[in-house]
This record gives sequence, structure tokens and C-alpha cells, in this order.
Amino acid sequence: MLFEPKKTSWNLGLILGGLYLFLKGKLKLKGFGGIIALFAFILTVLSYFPDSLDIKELALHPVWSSSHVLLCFIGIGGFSLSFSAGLIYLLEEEKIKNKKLGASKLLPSLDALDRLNHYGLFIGFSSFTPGIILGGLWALSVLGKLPWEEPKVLLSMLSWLYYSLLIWGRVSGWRGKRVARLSIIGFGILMVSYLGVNFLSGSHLSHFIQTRLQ
Amino acid sequence: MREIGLLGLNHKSAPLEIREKLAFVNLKELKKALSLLKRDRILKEVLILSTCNRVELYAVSSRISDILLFEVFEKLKGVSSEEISPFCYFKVGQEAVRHLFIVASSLDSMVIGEPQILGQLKEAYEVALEEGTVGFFLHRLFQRAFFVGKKVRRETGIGDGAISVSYVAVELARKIFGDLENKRIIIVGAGEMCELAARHFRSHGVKEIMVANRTWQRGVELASKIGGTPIPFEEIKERFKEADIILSSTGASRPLIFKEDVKKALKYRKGKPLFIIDLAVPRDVEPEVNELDGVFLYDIDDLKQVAQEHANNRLNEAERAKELVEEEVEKFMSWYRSLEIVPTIKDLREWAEALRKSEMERVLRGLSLDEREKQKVELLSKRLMNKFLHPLLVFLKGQTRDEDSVKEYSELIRCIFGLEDQ
Repeated sequence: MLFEPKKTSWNLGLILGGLYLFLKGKLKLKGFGGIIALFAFILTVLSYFPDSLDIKELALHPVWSSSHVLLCFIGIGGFSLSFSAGLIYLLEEEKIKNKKLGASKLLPSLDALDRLNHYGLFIGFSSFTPGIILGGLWALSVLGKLPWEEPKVLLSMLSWLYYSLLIWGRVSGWRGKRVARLSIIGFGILMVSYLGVNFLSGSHLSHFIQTRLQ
Repeated sequence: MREIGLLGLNHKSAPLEIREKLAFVNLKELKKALSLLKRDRILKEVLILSTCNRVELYAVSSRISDILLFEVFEKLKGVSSEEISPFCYFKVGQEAVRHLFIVASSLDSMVIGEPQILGQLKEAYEVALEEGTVGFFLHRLFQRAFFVGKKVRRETGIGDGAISVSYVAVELARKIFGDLENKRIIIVGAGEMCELAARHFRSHGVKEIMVANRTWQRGVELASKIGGTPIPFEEIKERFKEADIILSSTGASRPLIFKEDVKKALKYRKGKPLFIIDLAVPRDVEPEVNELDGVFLYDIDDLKQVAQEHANNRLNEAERAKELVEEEVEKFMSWYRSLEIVPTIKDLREWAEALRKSEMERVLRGLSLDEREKQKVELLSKRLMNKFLHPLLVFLKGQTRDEDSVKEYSELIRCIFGLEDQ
């Protein structure tokens, strides 16, 4: 199967690396590879944590599950790219502002980071949107309703709303520090819905299975 | 034995008045001097490096000395050795090689790490090559010097970071905006500083330059000089909304640009960064402007401080560069010393070859062999000779650590094999 749940974060790392390589030439980025490598590494390590997901359940709906998971992951990959670009943007901005340039020589220009943030947001959004729509359709076709009572679904919708506002801002001309801050916050919300909720109330998939069995 | 020597003076050893006297002001003069020296045949090889900071004469001759090179200077420039000797340095052999490598690495430059010197050296080399005064020794030496210069630049940070105020400004702008091509810059003031900085920005691709000056006419003049557009002085604040870089250097005694003005413009900018450079003393821009989000204000002291940091970095890197140079000097000297052993090796080979030939003749006279057999015997003798000589030659070629051992072993071999002295 294309996306074995246990390897989800490993896949995410892979997607992130791929996106970076794709954009690297386009934006003439220098000195950004380090943070991406770190990200990919952390995600890879996360993938070794035990996961309670039921693979058999996913195997019942290979098309639905692969496309839903793949699109959502590319979405999260894009958002995490914009998050890391935003983080470095703020760090470097601080340095230039306080006239302590030091190591900032090794970082890409603020403008390049801003554009990376931009690309990350757009790639993320244009993949995340169909991803959650597909998820919704999948739920409808199997459960006959949307599982609103599940925290992850709610939070994902919230993240989507947040990002759509951010995209609207970018389109209307927001730039620089403001967008950098907002994309960091956005990614925080996304991470809560992606990882945090699992710890609090059991995994997304087990909710799905439970609802189906009821 | 040929010997490399150099006589020269630079910005540290001599004041400008003396350097002027010895400088070769243009290509024509340099070529004339070299062709004159070629005709003279006093020096086997010669090369002249003349820049605004130094004049150096590199020469190869079997009887190199400072007197000889002072004579050359006297002939070329009509200055006596008494007049210039207090300001000159003479270096020979390893010292000369080291000096050249240090110069090529820009370690001896007024501004350490400046990139021009390597180009100037190459030019000097090419002129001498054209005039035919470069032989195999200087050729090898200078090729090596170019290599060392590039290596030092590549492997150390000696050329990193701008160290003049206006270049620091450009570098910072690039740090903020990346590509400067589509950026808009407003120059406030029309003085020399403004012009210089504007030219730097122009050469880094800035297309849209606006000039605002209190006296309209002078603003127009500067704008036409640098290919910008003049705008009325009163309009500056209105333009804050669209500018990317503001560079101000006026003679005003009080600030012209206030936090309030910039703050108003920020609403329209939607977070797009604004870089303000204040080169004026007293300052044109209220320092509090830097507190605003997305605005970077640098005054002349800030820029100087960055430049100073870079200069300090370069000094640190210079230490590493010197180590690199030292390694390269050692490599070159090892090659240089190996040259001294070459005549001995040549004599040894000739001696053996002569011996082989005479023995061959004697043997062949007493035998009646056909052509094929003769060739076989010939081959046998050659192989034997080479095999006997081989360890000896390898040993000799390995003795290039220092000059003494080169001489010592070379004499020993001559003594053993009864070779005539050079």
C-alpha cells in the first residue's frame, strides 16, 4: 500500500525534502538545506514511534485512503516549509534589525525566505484543500455523515480556515514579518491537530473505525 | 645556478612621492622597459609589477644582487640607488618566492583581501610574456602564484564581507531584498556620498532611482548623472509607501525623516521591508524609526561598525592564509632545489651512456651478429644501465628538503663517479 500509516511522518520528511529540492533552484536559495535536513530527520525519528493504527482497515479502502493521506501530507509538507521559512525570517530579521549580522551571512536573503514562505503556503493549501475534501467524501460514503464530533476533524477544519485567511492576506499583498509570524502560528494549530490530538483522544483512524462499527 | 630575486617598494615601505618616481604609468612605458632589458641580456628573465601601491621587479639571473637590480632601476627610471634604497626591499630565493605568494594572496595589500591584485599580477605577467622576458622559471613561479592566490581566496574568508561603508550598504540591501533589480531607491540629498552610494546600487542592478534634493537644480543634475529621476523634496514622505530603500545624506542640521512619517507609510506597505540608510552627520533620520516593524535603519556608525567587523574577520583569516602560503612556498622551493640536482643527473646519465656505448662497440666488433641480434644486445645494455642508475636517481631527486643536502649529495655523486664540476 502506498501509505502505510506507521511511516506517515517518514513520508512527510520525504515530501518536505522533495519540495525543498524543487523550490531550491527556483528561488536561488542558499543555506536553507540545514533546517530542512533537520526537519526531515526529526520526522524520520518520529516515524519509529509505535503507532496504533489499523492497517487492515485502510487496506479496505485503498483509493480513498491513499489519496486522502497523500494530499494531506503534501499539504502539511508545504505548510511546514512555510513555517521553517517564517522561523528563519524572524531570526534573521531580528539580527539585521539589531545590527548583529554575524552568522546571518550563511542564511538566504529575507526576500528569498519570504518567497519560500509564499510557495510553501500555496503548495500546502492547494493540496490540503482537496485532501480534506476527499477525507470528507470518504467519511460520507462509508459512515454516511461527517464525523464532526472528532477533535481532529474539527481542528483540521480550523487549520484550513486559518490558512485560507492567510492565503487571502498574501494575495492581497501581505509580506514579510507579518506573514512569517502568522505561518508559524498556523503550523502550530496544524501540529496540534496532526499529532497532539492523537495523544489526547486516540487516533484519527480508530475514531473512524469506532464510528463505522457503531 | 640561476637565482630568483626581487627589488621593490610598496605602500608600507615608501611614501607616495617615491612610489610615483618608480611607477610605470602605462602599458607603453612598461613594454619599452622590458624590451630594453631584453636587449641588454643582463637578466635571464624579468617581470615588472607596477600598481598604485607597489612597484616590484622580479628577475632571474645567475649573479643576482641588489646592486644589479638597483642598476636596472637607475637605467629605466633614472633614480640612483642612494635615493631609493631606504624605501626598497630586496629579497632573494625563498624570501622572494614567499613575498610573491603573499602579494598574490592579497595579504600585502593596503586593504587585505582586495581582489584586484591577482588581476594586476596576471596583467604584468602577460605583458612580460608578450615581450619575451618570461622564461620557464618565472613562468612556473607565476603560474604557481596565481594558483596560490586563488586557493587562499577560495579556502579562507580573506575576501569576505564588504569593508567600505557604501559596499556594506549594498550588501545589507542584498541581505534584505536578495536581487536588487526590481527595487526602488530614493536618494535624499545630492552630495558626493549620495552619488557614490547611488553608483554602487546602480552597478548592483537597481533600475529605479529617484533623487530628492532641497535645491531642485542640483537634484536634477545628480539624477541625470546617475540615470535617475528627480522628484520634488516635499514629495519624499509620500513616496515612502512605494520605496524599498531610502538613502539620505543631506547637510541638514536637524532630522528630516521622523518615526511618524514612516509609520504612516507602513499601513500601505503591508509588511514589505523598508531599508533606510542614513549617511548624514548630524543624522537625517530619527533613530526611533528602527523600532518600527519591517523597517531597518542603519546610520553611518552602524555601517562603519559592520565594516570594522568584516575587517577584523579578514585579519583573522589572514593568519590562516599565511599558513597556506607557507605550505605552498615549501612545495615550490622543493621543486626549485630539484633544479639544482638536474645538471648532476644529466652528467651521470651521459657518463653512463658513454660507457655503455664504448663497451657495446667493443663487444660487437668481436662478434658477427645479424641486425635482430644486435638490437637485442643493445636493448640488454640499455636496460642494465637504467636499472643500475634507477635507485641512485630516485635517491638524488628525493634530496630536495634543503639546499645543503642538495649540494652535498650532488658533490658526493660527482666525486664517486669522477664527474667534472659544474
